Amino acid sequence: MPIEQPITAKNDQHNKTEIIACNCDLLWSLAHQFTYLRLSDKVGENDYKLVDLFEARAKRIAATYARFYLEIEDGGTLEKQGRYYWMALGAFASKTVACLLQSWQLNAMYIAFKTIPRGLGQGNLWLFTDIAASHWFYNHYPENFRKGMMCERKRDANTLEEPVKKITYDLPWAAASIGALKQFKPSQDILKSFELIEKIESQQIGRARRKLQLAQLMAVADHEQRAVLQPLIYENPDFAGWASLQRSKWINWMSPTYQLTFTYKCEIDDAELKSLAPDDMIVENFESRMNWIGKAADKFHRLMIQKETYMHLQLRVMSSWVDTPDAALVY
Amino acid sequence: MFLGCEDKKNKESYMSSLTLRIHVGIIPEDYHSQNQLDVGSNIDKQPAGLTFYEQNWESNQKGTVIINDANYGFTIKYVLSSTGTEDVDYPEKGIDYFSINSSLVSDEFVSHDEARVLFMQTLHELLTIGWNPYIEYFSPRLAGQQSIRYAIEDGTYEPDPSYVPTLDEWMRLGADHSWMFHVEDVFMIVSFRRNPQFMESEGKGVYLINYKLFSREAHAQEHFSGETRDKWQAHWVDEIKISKSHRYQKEVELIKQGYRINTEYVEPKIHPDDPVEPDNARDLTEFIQRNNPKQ
Repeated sequence: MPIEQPITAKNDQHNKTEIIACNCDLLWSLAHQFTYLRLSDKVGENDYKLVDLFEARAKRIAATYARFYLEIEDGGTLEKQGRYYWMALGAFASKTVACLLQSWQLNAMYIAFKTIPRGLGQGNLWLFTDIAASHWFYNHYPENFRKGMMCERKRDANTLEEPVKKITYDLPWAAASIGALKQFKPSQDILKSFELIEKIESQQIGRARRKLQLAQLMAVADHEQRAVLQPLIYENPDFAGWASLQRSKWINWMSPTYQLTFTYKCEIDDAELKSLAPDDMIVENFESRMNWIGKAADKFHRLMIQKETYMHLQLRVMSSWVDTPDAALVY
Repeated sequence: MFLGCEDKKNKESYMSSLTLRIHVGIIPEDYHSQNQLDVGSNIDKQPAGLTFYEQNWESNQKGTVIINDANYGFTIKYVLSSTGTEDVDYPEKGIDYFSINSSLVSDEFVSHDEARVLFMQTLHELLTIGWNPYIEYFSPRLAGQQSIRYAIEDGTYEPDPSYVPTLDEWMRLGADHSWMFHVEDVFMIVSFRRNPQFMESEGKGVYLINYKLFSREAHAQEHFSGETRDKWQAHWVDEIKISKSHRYQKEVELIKQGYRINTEYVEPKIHPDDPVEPDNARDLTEFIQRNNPKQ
């Protein structure tokens, strides 16, 4: 039975048994723990350290998204492969972030515009915390997500179990990010995406399933844009000073036109980075942003339909980056 | 915004870089030459084996796309982007899938009611020049107001394009919705997407209109995945039997809820064996015949 009190039991005696009742806060705490442990290295007994290198984090995030899509993440169900459709696009997008960071570390731009990697790092980390936790939760406790205890709508950073809450608030840029994300309160778009995931699971007809998958992808893309990136990056005064080129680099991170190459490899060259086409007020103009996102989704969907074997192979490679090492020297 | 035929007064501007002429199955050489484009420009060659032919226009200078077809061609105005897809493993098919994003008006914001009127007018004009409504094999055959009612409930069902929803129905269609058409060997999905941050029915919204045009074969293959796509003809009958069996079950369910099934709907011929009927579905089809409410 769910309880409303936090867990007070301690694992401090050999063979000690204590009955713990689960509630949504506990389950969400486990989900959050999953996200930060994935981005950490074990440095001692029950002691973990967040990897510092943004690029390593981005690769681990790409790996985790790929693992969710492929249903090889903890709690995944192979027979349900395809329900987390956005995750496949997210894997390629986070790989692109890793490639951009790698590229910048090698040239002067990184030094000159340190807010860019910060924007990339912050956006990628907190989008991951937001999205990976809910998928992990649904993977493990579907009976208490949209139904049962109905934990989907009870997510709140402030009611996480105390140790998890402390670590979550100690993550980089936590105070500003958690506030911008409204303590992870679910948006209408993310609620819709999980409703679609359930429909995908029960849909046996291939073409009908494809349509639901695209709808699921767009719902998460909308959530990502409106509930995460908009408050975190677009409306953040810290990033207001970016020149349009740098801003658009970030905002178009899921646009395949310049950056998204659907392979596990990094295929970004400096010439491309420096010769971007005018980006048509991507930040200010909702219409343009919808156009860019729609185009990215269309291309991805064509590739997943027409070149499924190739795409799955790339995802399989990215899924192996789950332990990407930190750097000895962090830039 | 849509025009049923070319606007003669503006004919000269069609030759400018603001206008793109395309048709489903166009070979890349023709795509470049008839649009006076540099070969190699705006091409996104994905290592997976798809090449995307892209054109983008700035939102303060939107373009025009002309769908070239002697009988069923039309013009899309206020275009932001056009993306054509070619499968490098099948060059003989040409660019057989186009996705075009446009606005309804030259401005970014438009009142929801105006958007509804303009969008439905677009669909009406498509019907006028001969495009036929298309209903997926797994979906129930509904018409008129009932098709919108079901679309609102289902979320992804493509309703009858001849029915103009009320403003209330229009607002209840969510963040996006699609209508589907076919004509001869071409299929088309026309959708709107709108920003849910601007959803006051009395206020203004931001709309993006998407046209997806693709060949009959591309559409047929969408019913399959992996290697089965190449052998779609061999698997078509079995797949459609399953889909239509699902359709009939749904239709029986809907009749019980008071819906009327549009049994006059005519299916396109996609495969030589069409129309395919499922085995053991006689009970369902007889139920539909007996109990379908009169018009």
